[in-house]
Amino acid sequence: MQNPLPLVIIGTGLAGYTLAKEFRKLNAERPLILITQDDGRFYTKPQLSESLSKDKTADDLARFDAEQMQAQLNADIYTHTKVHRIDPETQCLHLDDVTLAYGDLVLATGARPNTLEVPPEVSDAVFYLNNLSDYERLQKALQPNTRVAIIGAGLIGCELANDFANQGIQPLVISNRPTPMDGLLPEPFGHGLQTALEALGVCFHFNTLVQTLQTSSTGILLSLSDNRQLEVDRVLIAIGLAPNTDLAHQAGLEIGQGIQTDCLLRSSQPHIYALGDCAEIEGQNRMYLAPIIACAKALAKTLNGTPTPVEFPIMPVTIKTPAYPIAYLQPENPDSPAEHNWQLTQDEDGIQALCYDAETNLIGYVLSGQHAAKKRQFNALIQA
Amino acid sequence: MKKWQCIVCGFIYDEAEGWPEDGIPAGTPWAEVPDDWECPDCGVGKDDFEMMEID
Repeated sequence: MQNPLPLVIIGTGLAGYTLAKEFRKLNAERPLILITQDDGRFYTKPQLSESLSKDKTADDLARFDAEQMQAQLNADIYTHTKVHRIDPETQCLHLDDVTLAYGDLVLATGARPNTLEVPPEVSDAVFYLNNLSDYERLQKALQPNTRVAIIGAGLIGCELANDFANQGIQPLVISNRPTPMDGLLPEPFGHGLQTALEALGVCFHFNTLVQTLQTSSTGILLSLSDNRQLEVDRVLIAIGLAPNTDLAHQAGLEIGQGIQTDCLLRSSQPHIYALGDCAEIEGQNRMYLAPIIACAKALAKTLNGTPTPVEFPIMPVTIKTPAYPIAYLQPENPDSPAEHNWQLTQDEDGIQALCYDAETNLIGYVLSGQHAAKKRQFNALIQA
Repeated sequence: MKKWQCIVCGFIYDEAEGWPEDGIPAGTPWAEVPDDWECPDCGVGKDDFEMMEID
């Protein structure tokens, strides 16, 4: 018998909306409610890293607003609404004025940027970029001659550095690591990316921390731990993301590097599920696009009455740095890295790193420059 | 021949190339790509693609 109590989804990012869409493909009748703290506009996060240089506004990137999504999904969407507490015992959510009963609850609360503490007088000049509202605020704060510093040379820092450079703003990038993408990619790739971005006018400062930020008469002054002082107009902080697990934690759910779930995306509490950037599924937190789509499809079936473990296909990641494209596929099984054999070749077209297992099967790769386009043939080999 | 871009991840389907690995020969117009075909890079369905201008 169908559960008459609603399916409630907290979060209207890509995870929440994709799950809602996939569920409605299977089930047209069950009441569906989505709750979001923001305005509920549907947008796709990958576009945030490459749209400044295309002169796109937030309105351009918002495909549908909440009202349109309500109609498309046949759902109630509570925008600008905070969930104060989840009560797993009574299966209720406590909102501002209302208590909402759920039959099944899905947490798609995403992640928030790691922050730096800054003095209040500087905060108007400090930006993060993790959602459409952030993008809107940032885009409106930029002019052709705005001086920008980016703190962080990881995935987002580098993609944004490229996007700024394409727009004619040559950012300063400050990192406490020795190279871009440190820890994410092998050093030669970080170095190749650095060279390509420097050719566009990006200026890197490595192995240094920002110790203070202060206003000056002509901008924002950053004092670095290597004793340098840099003056800019805007500071973008891109130092990683932390899953939004406060609600789940408060409700007594098990949390690891995210809300812990099994392969059916079930949390440690009955009738509560999780997917997307906030989740740790079978021990892994995957803050990427393709896992969300795979999870949404599987969870929709589970919620509709057919328990379906998520099976992740191979999920290559493309770094959106047009100056030096990088495609990578991490080997599936991280348990036996000692048996992985990486073979690296480097030429004027870029770098090709291929990972083989003990039986000489291709199981992963990192490709840069012109070699990035070869991911298609390697994907085919790995899938075979 | 036209190009279609996945609005979610940016992957481009070029009608002139098709996608032979999924049995879609070169020259297959978007309308003739099977309804259940999914974006090779992120997995979304055909209704999450949109027409892209040819430069």
